[in-house]
Amino acid sequence: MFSVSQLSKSFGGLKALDQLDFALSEGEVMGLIGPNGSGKTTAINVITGIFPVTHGKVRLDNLDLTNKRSDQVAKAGIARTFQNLRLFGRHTVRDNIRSSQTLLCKSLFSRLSAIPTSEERQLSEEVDALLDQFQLSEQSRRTADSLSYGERKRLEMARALAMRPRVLLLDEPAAGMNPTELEWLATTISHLRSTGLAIVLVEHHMKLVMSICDQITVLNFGRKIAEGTPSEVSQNSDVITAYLGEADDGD
Amino acid sequence: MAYLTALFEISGLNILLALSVFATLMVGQFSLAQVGFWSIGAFVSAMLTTMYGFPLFPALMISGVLCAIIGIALGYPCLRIKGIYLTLATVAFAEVVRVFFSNLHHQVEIDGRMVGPAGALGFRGVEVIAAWPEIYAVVIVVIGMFFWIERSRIGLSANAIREDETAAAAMGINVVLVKVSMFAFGAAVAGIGGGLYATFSSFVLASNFSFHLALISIFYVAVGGMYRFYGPIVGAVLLTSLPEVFRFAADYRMILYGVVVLVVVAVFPRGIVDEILFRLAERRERMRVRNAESQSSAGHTTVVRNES
Repeated sequence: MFSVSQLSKSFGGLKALDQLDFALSEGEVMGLIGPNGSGKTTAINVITGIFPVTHGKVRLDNLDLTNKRSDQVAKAGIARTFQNLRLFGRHTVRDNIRSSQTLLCKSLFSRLSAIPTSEERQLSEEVDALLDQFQLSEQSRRTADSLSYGERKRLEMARALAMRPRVLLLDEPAAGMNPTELEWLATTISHLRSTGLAIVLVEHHMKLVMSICDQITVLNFGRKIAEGTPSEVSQNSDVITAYLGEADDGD
Repeated sequence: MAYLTALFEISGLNILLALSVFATLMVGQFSLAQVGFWSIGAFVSAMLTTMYGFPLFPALMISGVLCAIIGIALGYPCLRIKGIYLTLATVAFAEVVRVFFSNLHHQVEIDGRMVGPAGALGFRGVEVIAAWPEIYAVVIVVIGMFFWIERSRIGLSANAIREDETAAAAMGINVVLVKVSMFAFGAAVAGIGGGLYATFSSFVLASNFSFHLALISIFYVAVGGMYRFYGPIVGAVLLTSLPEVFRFAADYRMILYGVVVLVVVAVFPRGIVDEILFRLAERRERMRVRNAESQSSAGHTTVVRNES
């Protein structure tokens, strides 16, 4: 369903991403791991049109999304979160989620109207459901800036999901989360997978990656050094040397 | 009374100028080009009404549409530049317009006298057909449009772009379309405002629409507030009235004006309206935290009592 092939990105003489390949089916979770600076976030930025592709292809079904604008990639069904949270700080929680629903408005009238249309009311119900799912109902009228870190993380995911995406790219969603929040995150990702969403999980939290990913791709210096199931990857000597470290090294 | 009416009318015109600047700020673009559009609107409306006999409102509509088209042509390349470079590009546009109208010499004979722009001498004898009812009819319509935009998805998208353009695009918002649309809308508002100015004041001189007016237009927004549309309205009314309030100081009134502006900016660093809204929101947040704390401590007390 979703694939990238030979995806490369150079910044001047630096190859930040070098011939990355992977493919994902519906309901599949792929972990994209590697040391800091290995090209994980660059891969997401290139896929979502923030950086132009130097070489390679991004495809969703038969649609070629290579070098499309970010909003076109989003409209095609690829949503993302950001490593450094990028919420609309002065918007309320509710408006943050509403912002990413504009592409779902079929009628021009809904987009232009200041009076809620039937389409708008339906979208509003979806916002309510997301607020509930991400435990943000009580905060719905507060501005994003006033939320705690954990709440902002949840809001980023809710905002991305409001677009009804088919592929979700999560950039380090577990960073800074406490054990309870991590448990919630693992449950949420599992639930999203069960709805048919394909998920790319960029993450350093190995316990989470190993427990919920169907397959893992490992990057180092922009190149793929290994891929396979969590157990295959965790025993790969290159991965252990470059990233995981020897046994008993923690997570 | 005539003096107060004139002040009221000039305030209305300045509200339009401030709102035109605000339209571009809604998408995070800091434009000094609005004075250029104001100038185009002034000359085009003056020519249409005085030289070619157009009624006021059709002339204003034509000026607005023309400025919107020029706004699209200017807004599209301006998408690629940001910050100081965008500001410089918009200043350059306003200067090009100023020089163009300073050199425009196009007069026709009406009732035995020559009427029309006369180069550096400007356009004298513009038919005066706008006063406070016409000005405020337009002001009310424009405020209504901002009210509508702010509550529609266009406003939501524009504000999202202002907050974080990259994130907005990643959420499926067509940044190019929204930015160019708001730039064109701001240009149209300035064009219509300029048209009203010309047909209100009877005299249009290109050098009046200089960098100084561009700065003043930014002051209105900076002092009033940049986030909600009523901020620029407050700024425009306040900064238009202040010099008049200080008339008792004769030649020193502009010094007093400057001091008051500095004090306002120091006390309200986000602009008057935004600062008040921010402080109210802060107060609400403090009360919410205090309530939550008192509720949790009340719960704790109950538990302790039960245990004992």
